[in-house]
Amino acid sequence: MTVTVETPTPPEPGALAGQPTTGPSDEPISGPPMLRCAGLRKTYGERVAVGGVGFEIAPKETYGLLGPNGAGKTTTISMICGLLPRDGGEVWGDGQPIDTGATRAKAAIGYVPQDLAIYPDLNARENLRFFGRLQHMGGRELDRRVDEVLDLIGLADRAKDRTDSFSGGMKRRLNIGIGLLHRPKLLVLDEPTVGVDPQSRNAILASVADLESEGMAILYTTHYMEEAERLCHRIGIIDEGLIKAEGTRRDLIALVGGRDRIRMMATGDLRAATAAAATVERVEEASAVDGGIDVIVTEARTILPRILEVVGAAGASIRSVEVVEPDLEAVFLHLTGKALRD
Amino acid sequence: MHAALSIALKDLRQKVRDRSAIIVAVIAPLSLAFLFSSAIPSSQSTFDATFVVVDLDGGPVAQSLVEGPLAGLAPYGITVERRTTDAEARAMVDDGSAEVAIVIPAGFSDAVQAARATQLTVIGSANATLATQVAQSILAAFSDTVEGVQVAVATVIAAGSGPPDPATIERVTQASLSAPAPITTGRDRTDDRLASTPTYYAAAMAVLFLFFAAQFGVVSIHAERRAGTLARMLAAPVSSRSVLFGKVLVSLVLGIVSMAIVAVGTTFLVGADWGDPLAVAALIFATVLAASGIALLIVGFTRNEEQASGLTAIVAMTFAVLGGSFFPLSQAPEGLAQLSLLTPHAWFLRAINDLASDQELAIIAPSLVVLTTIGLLTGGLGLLRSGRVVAAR
Repeated sequence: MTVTVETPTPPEPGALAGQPTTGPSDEPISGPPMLRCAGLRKTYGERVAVGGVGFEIAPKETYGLLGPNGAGKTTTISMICGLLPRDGGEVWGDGQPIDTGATRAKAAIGYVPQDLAIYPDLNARENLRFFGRLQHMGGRELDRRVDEVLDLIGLADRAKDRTDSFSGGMKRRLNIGIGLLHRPKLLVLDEPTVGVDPQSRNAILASVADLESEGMAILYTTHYMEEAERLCHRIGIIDEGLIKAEGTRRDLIALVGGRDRIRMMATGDLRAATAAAATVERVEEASAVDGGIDVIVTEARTILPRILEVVGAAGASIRSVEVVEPDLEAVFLHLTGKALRD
Repeated sequence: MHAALSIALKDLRQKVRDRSAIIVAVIAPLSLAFLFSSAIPSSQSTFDATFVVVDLDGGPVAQSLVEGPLAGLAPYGITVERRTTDAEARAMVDDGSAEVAIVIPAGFSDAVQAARATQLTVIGSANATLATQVAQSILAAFSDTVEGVQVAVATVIAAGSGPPDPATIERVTQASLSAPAPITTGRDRTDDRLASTPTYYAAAMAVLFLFFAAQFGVVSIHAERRAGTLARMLAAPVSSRSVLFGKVLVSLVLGIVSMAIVAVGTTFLVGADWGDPLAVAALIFATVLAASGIALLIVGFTRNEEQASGLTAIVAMTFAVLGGSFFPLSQAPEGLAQLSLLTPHAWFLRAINDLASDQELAIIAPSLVVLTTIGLLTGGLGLLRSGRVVAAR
């Protein structure tokens, strides 16, 4: 079976390593899904934790599950990784069905839990070697791969130190390194930046972005809108155990109309300036407000110079300009009626 | 099996680094075995005391005492020495060369024969209360005998037509004194099936701490679940069965290593004699199996490490008290001795005592069967219950 998934092209390697980006591009990726889940359902007594979640992830695609705490993200990936028995639905990873008893199929998945799952009384190398052996790695192959991963996560010089001497960020990186040790085809990251300082967070995001060069698909859960925008080709917005919407960032923003707002504080003939602004192509609405002009447009950054030009020519003197673009926060608010961090 | 071995090796590495495991599994049992062996007299040693006797009377009744009850004390570890003066005897007690002095006053025999009151004096060392009590008991028994003689003589007098001649009185007296006691107390020696004190307490401490050592392996299931590493293991191509086997393997290895080190260590440290090495090895394995099974069962019925460790401590100490780890069950009331058969400790210590008997090794077969059965039953049930603990991640 071939399923086409419309996904954008991955961002340039390293593009997310600290410098601002606009996120992955919107070019589609096609191919058989690395992960396919459908109708996932989990209840605890009367409470429905996950009420029928389904999505697909293509090879090399980074898919984000964006939702607030308690939305059902961890329960969903626990079922995907075969850690939690499900009450309904199915999961296929790299073409093989996955459930709690599917021992072999789990080899395709690298799991990075939200909480640190490392041994504090073992050193970094021993932690990696142990989990590598559980993935049936051994001998020189394991040694070589452990060295590679230590380099990748920037812990090569601390390989022989017990992890209870590590900083929080270093532990987080090791936590991720264990998940990708066996070169999984799908890496599942459950809120990997929760509780880390901004510097470590940036380093972790850079590491995750670099993972695309390893050719693996990534399922990334987060409640941070900025992370989803920076890393993910497609995003599923999840709340109360259900996927409320799914698509690229542009797709999702289109759900709320996809319009930007330009607010200019100005003096002079504001009425004439407002009328002039309304004549500019792609301006949908222009109105004079107290001490300024509000303009509703599509793609504000593209036409902003033209608007400034006509407003100035109409006799207004502009003191400040603010461009407000709709984001995933607005999308979430639009879809659920509540803020993302509620 | 590969995963179970990897898990077991990882756990053992952690346990070696965690010195508390070494302390509980090796140092504590060795130390306590040494202390118990040093502090408690060996069950095979005899009572050892010196009685010094001063016979100021020299009459026939005094002679009967010295040559009768006091002369027969050597087999019980009591040496009897004679001195001629009260002062000499007191000096010996004072300087510790004798535990007890017995002074027979002048006129003692005449007083007895005339049925007059008289008194034997016992001078006991303040440091030898047991020896003094033994001496008092011997003299009390002799006094009872003398009273019997006096009754016999009085009976002869009452039965005759007149006062008996002195020869008759003497004959009756001697006959009464030399007659065997109508009732004697028998002694059935149990020493033949009782390990020496060092051996007993070495084994007792080994099995006591085995229960704490064995828990280190399986209780870590709770610890790994809390730390999230259990979920991480199970996200790999590893079955929950492999995790359980790995943990049980750690318990078995720790238990066997603990007991083996204690057995070898106490052999050299306190002179323990455990018996035939092969039989001891089989016994250790069966006991470790039982301890691991019980530890796994405890894990299956608890929700976290604290609960499991607390319950293990309660079970281990209760079994140790009931099972004879702190005092030999031969000294316990019958009810407790029967109750002790519910504990692995009692069966293990019984087998250690059996091995001291120099009988056929088959004598420990009942203990092996019971211990193995306990291990398989509790371990089987523990696997089922603990499997749920693993699945409840």
